[in-house]
Amino acid sequence: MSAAVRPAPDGPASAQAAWRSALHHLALLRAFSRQGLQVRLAYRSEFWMHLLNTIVKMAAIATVWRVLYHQSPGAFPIGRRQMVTYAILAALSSEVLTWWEGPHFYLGMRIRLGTLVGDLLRPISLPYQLFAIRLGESLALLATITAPALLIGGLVFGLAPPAGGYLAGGAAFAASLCLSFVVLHCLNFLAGTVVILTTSMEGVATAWHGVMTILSGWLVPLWFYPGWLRAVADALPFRTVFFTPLSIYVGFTHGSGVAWALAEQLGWTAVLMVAVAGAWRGVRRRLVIQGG
Amino acid sequence: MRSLRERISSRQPQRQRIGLRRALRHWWLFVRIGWRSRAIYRADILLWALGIVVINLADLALLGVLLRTFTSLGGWSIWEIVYLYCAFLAALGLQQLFTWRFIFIQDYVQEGTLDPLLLRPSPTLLQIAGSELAYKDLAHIGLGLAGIAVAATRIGLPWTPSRLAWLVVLLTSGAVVLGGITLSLCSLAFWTVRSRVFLSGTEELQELFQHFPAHIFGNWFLRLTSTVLPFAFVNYYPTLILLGRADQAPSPLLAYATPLMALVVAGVALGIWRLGLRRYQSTGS
Repeated sequence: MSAAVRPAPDGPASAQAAWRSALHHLALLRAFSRQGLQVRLAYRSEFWMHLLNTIVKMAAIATVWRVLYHQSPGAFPIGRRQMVTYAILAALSSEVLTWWEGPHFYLGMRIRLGTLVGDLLRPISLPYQLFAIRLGESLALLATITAPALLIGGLVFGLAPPAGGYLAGGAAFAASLCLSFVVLHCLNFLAGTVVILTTSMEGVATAWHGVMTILSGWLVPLWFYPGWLRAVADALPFRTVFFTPLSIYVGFTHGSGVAWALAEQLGWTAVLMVAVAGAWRGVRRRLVIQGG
Repeated sequence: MRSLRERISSRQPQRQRIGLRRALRHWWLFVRIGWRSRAIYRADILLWALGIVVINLADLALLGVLLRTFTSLGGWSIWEIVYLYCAFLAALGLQQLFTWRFIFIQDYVQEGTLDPLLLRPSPTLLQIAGSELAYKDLAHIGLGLAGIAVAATRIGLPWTPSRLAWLVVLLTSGAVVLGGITLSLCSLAFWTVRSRVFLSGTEELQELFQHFPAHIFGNWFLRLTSTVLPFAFVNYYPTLILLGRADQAPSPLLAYATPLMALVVAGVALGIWRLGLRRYQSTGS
């Protein structure tokens, strides 16, 4: 936190204020992220089980696609290696870009215990607090779960390089994943407001899994969907969490389509951030904190 | 006759054995108390059950999308896979409904809340299981049975009395296997204090068995899940029997051994539980 309280260098008053505010935000982000990181790394046995689960999930999905590809290669718009890579990246990214943890669970827990009031007292908006915590947790997951599992997946199943080359294709994929992270956070937060309104965390979380599974394209790529379901998925933001980055990586989206997909993702990010701010303002007014 | 002092100092809880009928009466009493304590959460349970319906319909729809293009997976048609999926749901629902509280064994051990249960003249495990039923899992059972019925009709399996009898036996066996694995893993808390992670470590394995016919993962996988982690007996072997595909198992005998395996798994689980309970020393704080 020292960076935040250190006096800023001399300069025009407004620039100085902006500089200080930026530093302040970064320090807060770091503090909250570190909290998330520590939560993640607290229990070693949980880490091993998580890694095991991730590997099982990855191997299962990759095997299913390998079997299906062997069965009818003509049904796929991409190559065998690309399809297996899609499966592996989907399984692994769904451990970081998860809908089984995050703001909705945090809100649900806090509502149940009645401790949300403590979060509201902090001079920083709750969606942003939760974003920072989630960022720290995600970085920890990326380093401790995704990286080793990716190594194993690469060795066992083989990974295709990003379409469009490591530099351009890789950069587009990375940029898309960053947007996915923000989109998913917003979607989870919106699910969290539903948790607050219904006070049913399990019910909402379970239904939420159904929505994410069928509309995001992480388990089955959207190109296999029948026309009407594809139209529904296309009209909603869920697919930008998984289908957009993954189809960029495997080259299903290519050429100018990549820029278009990223722009669309950016558009959804903006819309959802506004939606989160609006929903939070609305919920905050109606919020009932349980006492005692 | 041992002295009172001896009895108190003995580590092993001394308890009179009670008959089955009395034990069941106790269990029913615990269940009723549990129901009352949950009374204000009834809407919550309903919403949860609704969520369960949504999640599984979405999963099934996705399997439908997949099989629309590929027509079969590992030689199984869509309705055979629906059958497999729903057999898992029904077994899971049955197991969860009656024994979902096993996951709290860790908390009983960690917080020392096992002590009051040990003092009551009723089997400890029965008290834990009966402290609350997982009513939301009625959704799993209902959805599972409905799916099995629909899939059987689509496949054209006639519901002869013997097939119905097999269905009941196999669903119960699947639930017992699942409950046995759960109890075994959760009872490890007596040695490691935290044990929920062992169970959650099998989460993806269970997902796999629910969604896909296990033989597509190879023989080594079937061998592993028929012995050390016997998840193949929850829904895979039962489905083989009911679909008339028992010859597809590594040995047809293995599939038909499902009820026997359920007894073995339950025995091992109770053994681990008893061993742990004998080892139990309260938290002392």
